[in-house]
Amino acid sequence: MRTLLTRPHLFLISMIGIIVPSRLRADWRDEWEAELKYRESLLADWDRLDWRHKWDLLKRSTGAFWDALWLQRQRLEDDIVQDLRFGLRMLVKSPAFTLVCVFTLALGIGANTAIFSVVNALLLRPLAGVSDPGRLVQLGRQYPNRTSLSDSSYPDFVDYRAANTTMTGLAAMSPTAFHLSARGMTERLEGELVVGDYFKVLGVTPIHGRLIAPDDDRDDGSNLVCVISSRLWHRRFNDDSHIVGSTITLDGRTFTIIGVAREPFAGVKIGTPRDIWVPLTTLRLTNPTGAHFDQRRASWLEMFGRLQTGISLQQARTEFSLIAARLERAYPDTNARTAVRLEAGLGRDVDFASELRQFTYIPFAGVGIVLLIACVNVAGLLLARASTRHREIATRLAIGAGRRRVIRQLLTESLTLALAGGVAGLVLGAWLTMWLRSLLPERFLFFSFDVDFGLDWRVLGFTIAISTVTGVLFGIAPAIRISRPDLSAVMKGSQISGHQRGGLRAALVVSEVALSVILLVAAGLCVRTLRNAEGIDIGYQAARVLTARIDLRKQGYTRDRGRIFQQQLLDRLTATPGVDSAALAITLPLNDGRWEDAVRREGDPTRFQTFQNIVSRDYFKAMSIPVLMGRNFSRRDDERTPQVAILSQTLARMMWPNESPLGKRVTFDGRSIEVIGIARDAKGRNLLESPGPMLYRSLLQQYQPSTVLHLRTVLPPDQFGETVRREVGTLDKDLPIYAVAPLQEHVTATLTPQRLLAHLTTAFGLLALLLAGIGLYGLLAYTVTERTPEIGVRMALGAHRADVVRLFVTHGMKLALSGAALGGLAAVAVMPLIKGALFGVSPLDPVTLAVAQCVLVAAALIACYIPARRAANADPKIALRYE
Amino acid sequence: MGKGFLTFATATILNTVSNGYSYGFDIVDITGMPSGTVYPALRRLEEAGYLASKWETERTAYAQNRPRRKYYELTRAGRDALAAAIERYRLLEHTAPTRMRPRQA
Repeated sequence: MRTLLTRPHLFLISMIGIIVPSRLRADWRDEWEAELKYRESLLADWDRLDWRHKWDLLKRSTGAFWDALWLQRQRLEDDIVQDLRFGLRMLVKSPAFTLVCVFTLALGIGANTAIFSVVNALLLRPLAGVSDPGRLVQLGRQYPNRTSLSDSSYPDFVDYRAANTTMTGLAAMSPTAFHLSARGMTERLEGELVVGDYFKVLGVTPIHGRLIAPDDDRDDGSNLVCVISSRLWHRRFNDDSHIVGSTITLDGRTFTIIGVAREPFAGVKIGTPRDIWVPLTTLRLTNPTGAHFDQRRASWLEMFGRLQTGISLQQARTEFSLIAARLERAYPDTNARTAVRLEAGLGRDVDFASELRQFTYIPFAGVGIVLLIACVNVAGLLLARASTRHREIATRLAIGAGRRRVIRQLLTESLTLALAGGVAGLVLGAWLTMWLRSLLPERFLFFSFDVDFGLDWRVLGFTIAISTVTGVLFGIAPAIRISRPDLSAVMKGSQISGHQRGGLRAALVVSEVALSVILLVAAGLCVRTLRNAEGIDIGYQAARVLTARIDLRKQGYTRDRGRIFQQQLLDRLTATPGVDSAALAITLPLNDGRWEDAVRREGDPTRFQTFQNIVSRDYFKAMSIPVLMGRNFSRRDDERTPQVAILSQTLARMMWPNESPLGKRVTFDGRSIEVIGIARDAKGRNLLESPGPMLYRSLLQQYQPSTVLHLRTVLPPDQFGETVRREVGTLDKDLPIYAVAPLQEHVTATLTPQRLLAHLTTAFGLLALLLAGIGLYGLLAYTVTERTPEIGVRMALGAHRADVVRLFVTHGMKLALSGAALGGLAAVAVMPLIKGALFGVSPLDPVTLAVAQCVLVAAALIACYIPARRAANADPKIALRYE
Repeated sequence: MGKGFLTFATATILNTVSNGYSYGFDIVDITGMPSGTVYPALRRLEEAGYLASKWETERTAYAQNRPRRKYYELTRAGRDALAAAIERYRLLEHTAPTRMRPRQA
């Protein structure tokens, strides 16, 4: 390193020397260094070694770079390039062999690339549009016994921001939806309420105007400004360059647009693009009590920060824990037993990401096995081809090539094959990724799959890496085997000692078959799981129900206007031809989990945790949930009459195990409520779990402005989207309806993990079956060719064609059956690992195991019969001619 | 590179070598061309067989108290090529480095 400072020209030479072909390097460096050193010493002698001459020396040494570049052509004579050229010639010489190998490898590598692409998109790719996303950290509260990262309160955020020294900035935001009215159209958009530092911490820049700054986030919230996304700017405002300073209406208030954020920034949640940002303090206008900003109990902010350079996540964790402990001492009422938690990366829900990570093990294991089979297959092909190259290799060794050199040559060839397979795999992978994408729903729980699944350097690096590993994996065993021939025997021209090699090939085929059985069993189990899950009684009829969301609060409806609107809408829709019934509820039956509270028997302190749904009168009719006992809500159950509730069977059983709950009173939400009916259980978000407790209340008694419309139709429900839009439009042309989708879609989406696994394992299983079949076929075809003379003799001596067929089929099926048996044992050992992913079927299910083995044996029979028949069709005269 | 055809710059370098300036930096000094031009040109000329290179002996270098240096000299083919080049580039004679005063380094 000292050379760099005192004699930079020599340092430069040694650096540039790295790219000079190694066999020329020493000479090259000597030549350059001799001149430079001599010149330098002359200058020193003359006492002229000033900065000007030093600069001249440095300038001259840069010429070495062009010299070194010119020498690159000499690399063509390097060993490695020779190996490569020879390898390529060998591959081109036998195109059929090359094609089969590349295709096999492409299947294996492509499947891996596809799975990795999806994992990359969902788990690895960092937040787009921000600078240096690697230093961003998300922070939140950690409650005991909870795995999730919870939101923080505003006073906590302010304290953390003031006290920490490990972050260059700390910011917070709260996701929120806006009803945007501009240029005569209202629509619902996702946005964020942000603190003044938000954009600075993220490192986002504007393309027009400016972004929200600390000055905008004033205490009184009177500053009604907003920043919009490039996406929205393109879509709604036609790239209007004078957008800055113009106004739009958000939730009924006029905001000034101060800037447009640069693409591709779209908020801090990957998969949920957001289009509008307004200062956090704007909340003070809609919520003047200020409870949001003053109470430590109110957790509603998502915090994130940027680590200072040189500070590790661990250091930051330590500091924030200290601050949290201090807050806990100062505010024991609200902050007791809540730790602070820091997680690297921003944009993904910590919980969901870890669940997803768990989920990816099975697909990765699946594609891993497929790739292994592909490797085994190609290794088998290489061994088979070795017989034709035997003489070449022996000659090389005989005239003095070292064994290492031969192995290197063979490995270069297999690496070339692997990389060609990798390139083809990348193309196949891109196509498979599209297929995988099509299996995913729009969203799953809170996660939207609206993310970029494209190729990036991670996918590319992964594919190159696995191709290289693959190349070594399938190349090494054949290379070692081939480079150890019996020299004298080969040179004398005697027949190759095929039996020994045949043993290795047979072992390869058996392992291939065994691996396929494992995948087929997994596929069978996953398909049965999906079948079982789809057959679950969910407690309501999801077919022919259309759902849509309506949010009256954002549109500034008062309670009275809202009630009138809701009643009119339901009346109009019910009167529409083709509509059986219409109802409103605050949540889908696949409960989004937020409406959870405790209920008590009146006069009894025992608390029962339950979900709740607030529904309009026809809800049970629209959903086809029978009210089993008591009565349904009626028009008379409104604000003037006593509060009533309907319990689900499960809740009823929990609260009154041995008596009828009808007429009993419960305390819920601080009110005394009479139980008037029992409704049949309906499944919640997880269809595989038993239904959770549910308490239904009447929308007429408990007004809610934000509701989900449930419309039971006589015809397929997707046709009614327009009807709903039209009827809503007649009542209020500015009211946006959103999330319009058949209920069945939501139900289907909940089974996404099961569906994905079923599809993936089936695809992998079939792929494995195909590859194993090719392997078995290849081995037998090769054996047949090898034993043609023997067949000739046998047939000449009176063997029937059937005997010949039997001979080869028996040989092949012995391998297939032992593979199937071994695979069965392996499956029994491995399948319990995926127990958690199964439903209604045992991991050791004997039927699945037997079916998988039968499928394999059937495929093996075909793979054996074709070459066997060819052997039997051989003309003994021609066959014998080879002797 | 086809034999019998030299660019002006290459011909100049060949000419310089024929005039007794026989190592890299010397040629750079005399012609004033950047080292990034001179060295690749020397390699090309050597590959074409117009120049031959040899390392001076350790002893000579040691006697003159400097690192071993690589010398270039014209081959017979080189001399022919230079003669042809001089035919084509009349200017070569006039810019012959014998007339240039070496810059004092």
